[in-house]
Amino acid sequence: MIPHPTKPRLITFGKPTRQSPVLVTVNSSLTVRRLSKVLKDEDCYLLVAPAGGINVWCGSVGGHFSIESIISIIKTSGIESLVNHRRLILPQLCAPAINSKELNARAGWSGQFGPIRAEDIPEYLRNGKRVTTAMTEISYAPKDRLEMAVAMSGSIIVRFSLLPLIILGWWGMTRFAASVLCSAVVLHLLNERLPGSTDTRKALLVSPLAISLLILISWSEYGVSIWSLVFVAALTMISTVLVGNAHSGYTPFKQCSYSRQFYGYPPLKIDIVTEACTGCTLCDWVCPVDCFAPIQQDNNRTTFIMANPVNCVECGACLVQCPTTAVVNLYETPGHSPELSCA
Amino acid sequence: MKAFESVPGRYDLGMRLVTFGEIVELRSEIAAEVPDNANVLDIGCGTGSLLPLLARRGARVVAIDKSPEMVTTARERAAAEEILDSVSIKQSTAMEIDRLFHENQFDAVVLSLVMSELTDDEQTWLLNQCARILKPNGVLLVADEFRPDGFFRRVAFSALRFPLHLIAYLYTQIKGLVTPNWWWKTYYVIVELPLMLLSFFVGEPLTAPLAEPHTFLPNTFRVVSVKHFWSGAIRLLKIQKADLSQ
Repeated sequence: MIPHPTKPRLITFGKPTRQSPVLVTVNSSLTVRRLSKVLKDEDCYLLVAPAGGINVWCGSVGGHFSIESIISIIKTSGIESLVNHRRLILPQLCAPAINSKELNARAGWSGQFGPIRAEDIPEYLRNGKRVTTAMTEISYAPKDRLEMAVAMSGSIIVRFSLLPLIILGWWGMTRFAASVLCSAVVLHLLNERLPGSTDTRKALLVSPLAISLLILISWSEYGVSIWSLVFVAALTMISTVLVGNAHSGYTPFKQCSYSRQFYGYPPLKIDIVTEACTGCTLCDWVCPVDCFAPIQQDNNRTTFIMANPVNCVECGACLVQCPTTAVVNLYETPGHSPELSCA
Repeated sequence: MKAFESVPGRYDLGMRLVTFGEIVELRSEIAAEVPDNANVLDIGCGTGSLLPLLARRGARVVAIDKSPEMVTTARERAAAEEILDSVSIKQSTAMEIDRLFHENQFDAVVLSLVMSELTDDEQTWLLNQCARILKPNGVLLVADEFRPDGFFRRVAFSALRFPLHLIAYLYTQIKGLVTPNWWWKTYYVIVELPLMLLSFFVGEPLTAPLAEPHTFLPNTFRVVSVKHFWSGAIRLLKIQKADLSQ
């Protein structure tokens, strides 16, 4: 994740009144640009909070977007003198960092989670600020997949094409770039349908395809020698390993594999203590991947259970939001062994 | 320095690197400027290295820092120096002092390497708050990086500052690597190092040196004295709040 910051500020859309909604986002330039496009016909305020230029989800799990960011932008933007209410609309994916209760205590503003995707915001505002179930779940359409594949190849090509350029010259660099782009697109579009337990294995599965494509291209230009075959094969293998290792960090369904390997990000195994659960639905609401499900207890009480643990991306949103600490991390709970409680 | 705050153990070393080793002298100068037996607020206390110096001058110090790890480190230091009676350390950001402290509460406020981490709007807000919580004739001490005067000095300063910051940044980031697995270590150097270089250039982890003080000070403040370190690259400003009752 390369940060790209823009100036933290207050942006006004349309002609807002003293009752107009106040939305919050981070100072990542891409995020602000996309939101501005979506909100151009609305009457509202947008607070761009300082978060190191990182997007909402990565920023809030990684500690860049926090209550301090919101406090800072509230104080410096002068929003308190522009509106009568004290209600913020927060992006739902900031739930791993921002607890509404703490926000209220420290900043004097209450927070309400809006939709995940920016495109849903106009509909959300028209519907009296009510989110539908579709707005609270992550989607990953082919269009998004293509976009992420191109973004990821760009990042990998910028970082690593110097080496093939030095060793093999212009020829090697273009082959490397083509191979990265080809395997990234295939891996992103077909990821769930490819066999293999890890993304790297799936990527290696893609590599023969990329190799034969590159050989076809080389053939039409220069003919085929044994050395060009060897180089193309080696380049493609290296690029697919890079693509496969990076892949999970670009999808919304898996955690970035580097965060734990490199930085010791704590592993989470979420469960709900039924006795403590009040059935407030907050965990179900903030979970972007639909892990939780309600069950009817015999005394006419609804509680939630961890229904789909395989979906969990370990973002920790439910842990931060649960008002009664019924949501627990089994790795940190004494007396619980994660292996046993899986059943 | 934002990049160091995630690693308290390396913070002091990183600070010494980016201030060209002047941080030790800077601290004793700050302590010398604080009036005797004063109420002092230390915003952004870091590992609390200024606290013993202030306590030795008879000051009652309130220190705040936004990082919980820094607050723990500072408390341990205060306990080791046996100054816990005169020092209280709280976890809070500089942007929350409007709720924590009342008007005319302090004789001195210390902003040591804090201002350059803030955005322009945050600086303005913070200085106005300092003007509120200081007593009349109270002292504000700003020790920070400044843009040196003169073109050649500025160029020489950037040429020296840039590699120092890059080394300090990479060093603290590499220390974040926790895995003992050698394969992951190798992979980290190959994959993450170029990424960190990219984010160093794109993501502004560097702090921005301050402009001339008169461009950001509220009009109740008056600069009393300026001490230069490294020909003006680092300065200690002694600023006094005007006594409006006179």
